Amino acid sequence: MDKLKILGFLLLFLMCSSELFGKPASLRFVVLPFENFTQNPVASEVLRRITLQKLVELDVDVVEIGEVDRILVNEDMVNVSFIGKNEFVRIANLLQADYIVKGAVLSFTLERNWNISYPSVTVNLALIEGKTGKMVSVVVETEGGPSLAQVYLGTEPEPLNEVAKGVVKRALYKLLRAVRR
Amino acid sequence: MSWKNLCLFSLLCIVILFLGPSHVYSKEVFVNQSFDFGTIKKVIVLPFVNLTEDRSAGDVIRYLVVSELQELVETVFVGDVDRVLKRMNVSDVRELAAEQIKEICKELKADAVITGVVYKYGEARSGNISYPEVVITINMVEPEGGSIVWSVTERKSGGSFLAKHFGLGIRTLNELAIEAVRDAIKTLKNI
Repeated sequence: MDKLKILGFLLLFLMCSSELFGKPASLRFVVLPFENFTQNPVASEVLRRITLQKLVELDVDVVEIGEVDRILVNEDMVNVSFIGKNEFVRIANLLQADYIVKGAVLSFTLERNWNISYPSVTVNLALIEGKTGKMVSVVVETEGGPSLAQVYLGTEPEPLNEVAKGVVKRALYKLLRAVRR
Repeated sequence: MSWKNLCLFSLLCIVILFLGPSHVYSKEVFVNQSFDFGTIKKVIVLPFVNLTEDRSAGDVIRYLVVSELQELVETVFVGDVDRVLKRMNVSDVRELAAEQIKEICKELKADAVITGVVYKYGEARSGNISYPEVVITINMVEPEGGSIVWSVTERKSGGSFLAKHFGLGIRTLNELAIEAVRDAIKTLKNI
């Protein structure tokens, strides 16, 4: 009897675990090309790939970048600045995706002030529902500034890519909260 | 001055020094009190006028405003707005007439338009040192009369005393920009 109870609890736990740990189970995401508002020509590509990687690490089903870009070219939507509500629905439909992640890189650089160089990464991520084209959530996440060790001991700043990974991770965590609700 | 008073005075100086503002800022706000802000459910955020040397400053502040407004009202996708502007042959939002604002609102089913100006988004210099500075103005225009019903100007500067003299609390340009936009939109939330 006790064994049955334990088994029952285990089953219940497994059934609820997706909800408990917030894994957006069996949802399919599309990551569109990011808009780039920085001087760095590859910033949007770097941040897009980091976003995709972080989503994969979260065990989320993500459409491969090549497939997304192929659809955008076919549908004549190469300029992401002009993609609107109806286009989001069409893209989601064509790629059979539940959600679209749209991003913009607002900064991806080493700033130099107070005679110190320090990283500055800012990303804007929006989550769009594929069925309706409605914006579910939008976040802006930033990180940067020198550490005390950098100011007083002259240590090296953290590499931009590492800072970007942390920024994207935090942004996605906030963004996916809307899906889990 | 006695030894005790000297100690108290020194302690007070230290407290003022460390609890002082981490950055310099100022704000100017205008609200049309006779306007009913409760009627606004959906807004359009137009491209910001960029008066800085940074070509992307207007876009950055515009995206921050869209993000900050999401808790307050529904915003039209930037892509939809830009496509309508392109179709209307509007390359500079400064040339937008009241009639055109009305037309855009009608087409995108919005109740108001957010416009803005970025005056400063970059480095400011003081002697040998440089620090980030952001100065922006955000307006809300109601489409019927084409008048400004809410306007706020925010100035944020990273040139604080602690940063200048001790290298503490140094902020990035975008941290200041996010704070400027957040504080500006807060005045709209408080209406």
